[in-house]
Amino acid sequence: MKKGLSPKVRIIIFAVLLLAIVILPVYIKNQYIVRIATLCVMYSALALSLNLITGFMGQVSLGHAAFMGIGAYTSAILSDRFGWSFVPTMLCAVLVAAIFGILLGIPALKLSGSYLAIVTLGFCEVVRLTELNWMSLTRGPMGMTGIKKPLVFGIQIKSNGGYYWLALILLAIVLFFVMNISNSHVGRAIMSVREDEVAASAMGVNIRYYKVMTFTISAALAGMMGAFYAHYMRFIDPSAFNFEQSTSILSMVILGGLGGVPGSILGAVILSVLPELLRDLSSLRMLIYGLVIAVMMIFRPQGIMGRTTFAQILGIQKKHALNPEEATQLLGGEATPFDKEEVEA
Amino acid sequence: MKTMLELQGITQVFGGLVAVNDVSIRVDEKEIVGLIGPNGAGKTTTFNCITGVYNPTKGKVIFEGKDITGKPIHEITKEGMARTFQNIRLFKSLSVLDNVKIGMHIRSKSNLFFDAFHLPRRNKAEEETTKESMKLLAMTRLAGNADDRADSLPYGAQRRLEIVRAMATGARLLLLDEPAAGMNEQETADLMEFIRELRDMGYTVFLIEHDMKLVMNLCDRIYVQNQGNLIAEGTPDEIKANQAVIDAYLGEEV
Amino acid sequence: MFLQQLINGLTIGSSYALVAVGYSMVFGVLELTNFAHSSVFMLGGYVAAVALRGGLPLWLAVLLSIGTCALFGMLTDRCALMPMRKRGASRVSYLIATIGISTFLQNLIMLVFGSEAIPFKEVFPRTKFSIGNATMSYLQVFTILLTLVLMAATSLLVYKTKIGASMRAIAQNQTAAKLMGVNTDLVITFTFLLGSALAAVAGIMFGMYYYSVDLQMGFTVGMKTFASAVLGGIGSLPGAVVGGFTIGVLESMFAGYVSSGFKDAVGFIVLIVVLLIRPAGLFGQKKISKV
Repeated sequence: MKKGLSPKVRIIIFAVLLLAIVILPVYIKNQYIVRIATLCVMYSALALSLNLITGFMGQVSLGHAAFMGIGAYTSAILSDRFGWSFVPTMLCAVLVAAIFGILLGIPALKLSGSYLAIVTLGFCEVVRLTELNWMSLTRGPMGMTGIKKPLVFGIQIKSNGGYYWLALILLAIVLFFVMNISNSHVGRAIMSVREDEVAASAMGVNIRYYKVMTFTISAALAGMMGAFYAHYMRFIDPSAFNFEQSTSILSMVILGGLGGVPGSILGAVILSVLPELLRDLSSLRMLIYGLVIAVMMIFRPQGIMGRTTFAQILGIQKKHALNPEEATQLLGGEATPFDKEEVEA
Repeated sequence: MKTMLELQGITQVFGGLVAVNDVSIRVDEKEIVGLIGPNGAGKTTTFNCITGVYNPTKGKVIFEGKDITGKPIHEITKEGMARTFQNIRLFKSLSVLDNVKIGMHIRSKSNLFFDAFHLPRRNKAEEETTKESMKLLAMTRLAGNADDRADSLPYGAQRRLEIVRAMATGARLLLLDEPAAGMNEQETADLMEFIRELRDMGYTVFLIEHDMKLVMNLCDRIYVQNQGNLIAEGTPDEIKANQAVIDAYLGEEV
Repeated sequence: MFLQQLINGLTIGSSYALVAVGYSMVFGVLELTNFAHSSVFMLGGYVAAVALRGGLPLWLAVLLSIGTCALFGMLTDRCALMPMRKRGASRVSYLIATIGISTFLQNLIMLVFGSEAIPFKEVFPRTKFSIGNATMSYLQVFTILLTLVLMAATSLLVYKTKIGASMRAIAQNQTAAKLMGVNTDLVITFTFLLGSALAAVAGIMFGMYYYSVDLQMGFTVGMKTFASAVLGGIGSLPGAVVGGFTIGVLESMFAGYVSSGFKDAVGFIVLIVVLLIRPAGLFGQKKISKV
């Protein structure tokens, strides 16, 4: 991967790419492509939010679509019944999804592995059944139609380009939180849960707190993207938030790389574009997803990019290792108790 | 001398099986105390009762005068004791530095809010954590490996890293579960030196060990556990002469 | 009504029990929840339904169904899980792999057999007789009896034969079993084969009872049967049977007395309650975490 290039060149390439992504609707006039690009951005955000649970915390969640659905319905209902504009409905969607994240996080406290996966799967199903049967609130299987186009701080989103930029802003928000969290003391605590729960708690990490926290943050972000989905598609029904949707998002995370930020984006883009490229094979979409998941696990469990970070791609990741002199210096130049031996290579 | 840790009649029963029976142990400040015994004697279970992995069926664990019996693992760590594991339990796929940083988790001044918004306080805390961790690594000859994956270290270094990680919690008492297991003679000798240095730095050490040479040379006092019961207590010389201990080890050289 | 719901619940619980046994056995040997298991159950129902529709005699349809499922179960282990075992994959990887296989199989079935429900030819006369104020069909009697017979046979296999002993040895300690000369790969594959064959029978019974098979059956039954296995104590054979019947009856009662819209949520609710109150289930043993 761009091995020979200096960080400077890499940053320039990256900046150009970023610019190309940001102004995509300006130079691409094909509306179909802009819509696919919007889907890529939306799924990137969803994959990133799931990556917090599955990649960083190492817990398999099959309930991600439920949070997305909760966000979508919350936003759609508030907009439909009370005429609220997008930003407040989205914030409510985030809040409600977060509350459900806590609710799911609580039984998840004691569980991990298969049990947790099944519970999240069941959660997804119960939420779907509720959306299906609570006719007075959700209009059940008929779904909600004519959801308003979003009005964001006085700007009415109408065009495909507008939706694309809105999605990009939301993705930026998700990226901001996911990268900040993963690259910090909280993130390390979350990763320690993945690595070894017993050792983590022996280091003073409150496993339960971090499990609920991770579920809550992840759910909130998924809820936000759900709100976007509702106002973008302008039609939602319970089948959009079923187990298949959860599996799709999971397969993106797995394909890109568990526990890596650029990976999730790559996975989401590939799996959003692929079914479109193979238009004739669109009935094969879920089949491909299933195959991707299984094949990756058998042959390349770390995914395409593994845990590669943006800093690593750009060649600007910090090095911490010290040679013996530096180490002595760090300790104030004093002879250290253990400096009798060479630093192990 | 101040008493650091005191077990009062700890009993742990698993579905009718008494794994630890009425064990009372005292560890004083800046002591190196050993717990030995044949396989299956209940040594690790005793450790698990102290560190909160199990909630003992009976008895009390007193740490620095405070009853900590039945507290969850992470809270016991906050009280000021930290442990290592019989089968090394590092955060394998994380870097050596991150392992130590996670050890410093409870001392971090940042929290979710500062982290999520990348506020100055997070940066300051992060800087401090990194510096402190690197110091610990430098002191233990691991600074050159800071960026490596923890499981890529040689065996002896992994054991040492586990101890460093425990030190990073700010613990005053270190519980080491078979720190010399799987080490060759040279590595064991280094480890003994290391543990002595720990005491010089002000740590109290309570360890389980099979390696008799290490225990006899290193420990101030030794407890012997067999089939859940404590059968002897004393200085290394007393233990060597104790008939009950010799019987328990049957043929093994003590 | 109570008696009627009880009879219906026991009938549907038979299918659950047979599927739950598969979950339990695989969990026993690998400590893995095989997510693909419910899809295998669905495959069993579909193959039999299509074979019968095509005019094959019942016995051949049943054999074909069992054979297909057993083969698929075997392939799951040989092509996916065994290579992962060789590499020493993490537990999460196994879990995710079976989720992938499950999704793959479900969609393969949809692709091959279409997304419409397929009617299941009536092969068993639905003559009914009455017990008190409830009725019971001979099909129901047959279903319940067949389940009990199959369970007895499986128990004999697990507790009285050499391969059964190997299965139990692996469940205790895979490494030790291997050292003692047990061909662990063979036994694990056999476990998949056996579980899948039972799931096929369950799929056929399910189809017979509801007169049709559809794409939802795998998913809804998967949740309930996993709940059954956990309720009974995962890894325990009698537990899985008792759990299956219990969930069947509970669901039937719930549909009869409370609401049929949410009856599929019963399994989930039971699962949560069991996991929170008694994670070891009714017949399971509490596991002591080794540190």
